[in-house]
Amino acid sequence: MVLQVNQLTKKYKNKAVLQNISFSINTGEIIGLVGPNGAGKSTLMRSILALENIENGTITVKDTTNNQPDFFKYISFLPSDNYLYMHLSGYDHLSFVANIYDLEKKEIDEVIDLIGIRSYVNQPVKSYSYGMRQHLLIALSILTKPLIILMDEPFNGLDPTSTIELKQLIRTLHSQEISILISTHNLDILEDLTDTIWFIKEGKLFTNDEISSLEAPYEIEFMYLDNIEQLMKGSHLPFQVSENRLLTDAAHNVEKYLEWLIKNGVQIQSVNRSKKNLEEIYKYFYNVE
Amino acid sequence: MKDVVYFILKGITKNKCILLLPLAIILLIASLFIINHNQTGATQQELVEIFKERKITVNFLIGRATSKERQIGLTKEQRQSLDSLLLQEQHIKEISSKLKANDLDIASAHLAYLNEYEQFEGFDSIPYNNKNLLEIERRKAEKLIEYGLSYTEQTTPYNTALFTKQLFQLLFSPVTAFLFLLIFCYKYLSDRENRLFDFFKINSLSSAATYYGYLIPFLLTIVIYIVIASSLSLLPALITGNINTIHYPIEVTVGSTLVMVPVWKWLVFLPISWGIFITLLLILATCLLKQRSSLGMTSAMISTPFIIAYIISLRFGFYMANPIHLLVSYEVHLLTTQRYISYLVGMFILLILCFIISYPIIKSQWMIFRTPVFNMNKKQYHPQSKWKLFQFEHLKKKRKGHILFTLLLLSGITGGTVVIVNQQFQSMPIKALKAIEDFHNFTIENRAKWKMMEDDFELEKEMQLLKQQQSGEEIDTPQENPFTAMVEDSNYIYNALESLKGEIHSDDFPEKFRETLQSFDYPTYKEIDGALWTVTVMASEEQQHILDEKGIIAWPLGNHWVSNFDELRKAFDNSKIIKRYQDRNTKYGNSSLFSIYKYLNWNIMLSVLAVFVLLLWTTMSDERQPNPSINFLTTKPIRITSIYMTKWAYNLAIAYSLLLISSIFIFLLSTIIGGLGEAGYPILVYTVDRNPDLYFYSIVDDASFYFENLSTLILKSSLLIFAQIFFLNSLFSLIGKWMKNHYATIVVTLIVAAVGYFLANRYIALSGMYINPFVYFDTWNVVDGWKSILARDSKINYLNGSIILLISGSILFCIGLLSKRKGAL
Repeated sequence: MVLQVNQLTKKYKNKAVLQNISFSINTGEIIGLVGPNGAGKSTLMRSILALENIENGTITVKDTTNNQPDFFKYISFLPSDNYLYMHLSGYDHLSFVANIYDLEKKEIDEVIDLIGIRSYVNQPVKSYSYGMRQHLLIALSILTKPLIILMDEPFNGLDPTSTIELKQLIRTLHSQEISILISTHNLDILEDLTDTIWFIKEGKLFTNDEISSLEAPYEIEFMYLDNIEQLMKGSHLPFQVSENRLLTDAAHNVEKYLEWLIKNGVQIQSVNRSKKNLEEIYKYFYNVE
Repeated sequence: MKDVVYFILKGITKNKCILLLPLAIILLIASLFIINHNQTGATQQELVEIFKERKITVNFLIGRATSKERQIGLTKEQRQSLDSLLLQEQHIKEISSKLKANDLDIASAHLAYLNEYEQFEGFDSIPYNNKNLLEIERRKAEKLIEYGLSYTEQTTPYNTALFTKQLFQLLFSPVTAFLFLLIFCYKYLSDRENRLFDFFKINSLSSAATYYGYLIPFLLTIVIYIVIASSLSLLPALITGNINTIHYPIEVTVGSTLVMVPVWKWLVFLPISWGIFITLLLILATCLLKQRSSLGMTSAMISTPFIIAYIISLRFGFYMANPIHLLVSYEVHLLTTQRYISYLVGMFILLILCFIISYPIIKSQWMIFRTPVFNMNKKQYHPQSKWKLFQFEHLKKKRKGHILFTLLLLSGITGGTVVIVNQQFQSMPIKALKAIEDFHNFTIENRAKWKMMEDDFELEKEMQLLKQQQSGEEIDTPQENPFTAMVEDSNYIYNALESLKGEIHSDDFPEKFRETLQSFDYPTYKEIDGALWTVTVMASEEQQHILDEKGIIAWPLGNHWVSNFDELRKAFDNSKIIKRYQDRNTKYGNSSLFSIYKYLNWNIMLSVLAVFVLLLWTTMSDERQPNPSINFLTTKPIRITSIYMTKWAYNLAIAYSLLLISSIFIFLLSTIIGGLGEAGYPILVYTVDRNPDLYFYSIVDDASFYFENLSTLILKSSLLIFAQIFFLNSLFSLIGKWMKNHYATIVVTLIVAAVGYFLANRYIALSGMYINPFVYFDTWNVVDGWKSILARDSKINYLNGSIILLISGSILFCIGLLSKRKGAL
């Protein structure tokens, strides 16, 4: 286990933005964090990094809590807002960070080449485009070889080539056993990168287990039956019908329906459970029409 | 080249900021016009007072003569003298009535009065005017009549050519010249950053075409500026029909005499000389910038020859080949003769020579400097493993250009101090001449009084003799007139002072002037009743004893100067007395120690501190807005307290090192100009303590005083300044810790410091005020003990001040340390 968060609570003006959030992230895990604007994704990351005061909770990486400077030896951050120094060059930033972490110049050069920022790394940040700044932030976040990287909207402002390259980089980092917590609004990219997606809603975090039930309902299809709805009215069982198919979320209901239908001579064509894509889950979870 | 000129000119004319230039000139003219218009009348008032005094004297003399005529009759000469006095009275009446009606057209009447007075002196009369001053008045009146002019406001003119002269001195000053240079350098560097020169290059333009083509539009702008500024400045005189005032004579002191110079000479010399000077600067700047010199190097390489030229002018006087006279020290050497024409021609030739010399530099592909300035590619930063955050702070300031800018500003402040000190020192002969003339006036006034008393005595004697003859009785009358000796004394004083005029340019003039004044038998204060001893009188004499013992020449002129107690008293006196106090208290010197003394005495340190706070110092708030760069630091294994401490330490280090550099700069420059100076110069130090063995005590001022060496006081001031910076930095760092916006931090710090300083001085007499750190921000007044007098508390001194500033600074610093990283509450 790399990162452990226990009972994290954060309030803004007495309103809980994060409520008793607990989770842990294992080595080499990629976790996607999803939620609409204002749901608390950035606040969660900032709270982990002690950039926000929290009401309650403990955050640890390798037995060091987030109020100890050593905590930041193991964790790095790719922020969504610009926290760079406008008058300094990219190299100035990399050099300073390398100096703090006692890294060699060679390691700076490796990262510069890996991210492909050589052509402009000596220019002041104020002359960078948004995408160039994002590249520098990525370089800064991986330079220190952390155990875990928190990436807040890392794909914002990237062109398609850079997006592909960043996805590739994240996979490479994953292969190097570096854990990554990514928050993004780009569900397709997230789906492409990981199966572990967490949702934030009303200050609460919903992990994979909790949202697995939301994946898709069971669908029972029939042969030679035109109006299942009318037939089911006589069953005294609760039911949901769509396009002449019987739908249910729970596996034990499927058993009950099948028993009653067979008893009433209905010929079953199939029982399916189709996998929903992330967008559908998102729509379903956040009641998006 | 034509295309480049057209291209650049188009850029300049399309820039909306260019419109600000005439607007700024109009604003300046309007402001000065309003200020002068509201304060006008000083010259008229001066004339009114002169003729009022003359009228009183003339009336008195007429009264005495007519009385004598009635009693014993007048001789032929005395009769002629009385007739002359009556004529003088007539002229004075005419002048006074005109002045009363705000009519300054009195030149003819004035000249008539002067002619009459000249005749009057030839008779058996009592002279009551200073002949030297009358000669100046005569020359002025003659010039005015020659050009059909009336007297006009000289100090605060607003509708004459004298106003235009004032404006020219502002618009064509060294400040505007260097401002133009700065704008040129900025534009050049930003154009280079935008690859403009590369653009010209790829369009197959030669180096010469590019760079001369670039320079010419700026030279044209300067010509346009000169034309616009001159036209606008001449407008008030033109509109009011006073353009003929360009012939108005203005007094300029040359050696020991005053010379009349018409205003037009300034109006011709100033714009042409300024234009040549700025052109020289721009050629030099273009050559340097073309060679890829850095901004700092360019500034240094431009300022160095001009500093050298200035030092040469100070040390060796006027030289026709020295271009510095285009801006400074030109009046005496150039305008009083026709030399300015040959000088300007010479400088024009120098300008052409510079153009010729610049050609191979601009044409050549060879580069002297390699350092790119404002180049997009910054030099790579390779930090050392120690003081990581400290190095990073320095890097941030360096990249923002703050270090260079502050160095330039500090150089400006310190260089300005040296220039002002030296310009004041240069004006010493003029002030000396004025002091002699003032003393002359006073002596003539006294002599006239004694002469009258001498005459009265003679009259009385003659009347007694007459009475004796008529009655036949023998009356005992003194044979010798006791007032004759007084008249002779006055004559002796007059002549002694007159002979001093030839010495006003000698280095030891203050000493000779003092010796002359002392020879007039002024009593020592010890001979006066002790109850009348003031600090001013006592200190003047005692300080002089020490100066004599050490063989040091006094800084002020004369043998009697004033203490801070008189500064308080003068508030109740009229402006003439205030002016006299100021003149008596002016100190003249140009040595390095004197310059540092002035630097401290003028409290320039306050402005230096403000510069540090405003421009160079950094706080935590600097990391919060507009970019939350604090998050960059706090997401690294760095303690918050380390960031706070580093910023605090960096502020201190940079402030101390820059102060040290600027002090060394002042010291070296002043040493070259005027030598080291007198470390043992005795400075008056006030104290509330009473110890007859250690201190002198004045009953009148209820204060003691003693003298301390200048070097000791400079060291004490340095300690206090060290502590002031320490305290201010801690205050600034703490406020910065609490605030989110850096600019708000600066404003709040300055407000706190200003309010603290004001309250500390307003309520300085309150008990316990000595623990208020803001009391000690007035460096020199703390060091020379004046603050302790104001507070009537000996605890207010430099040592306590330094300790309190350091302790309170440390407390503020420690409060800033009391915070931890964000996290669980």
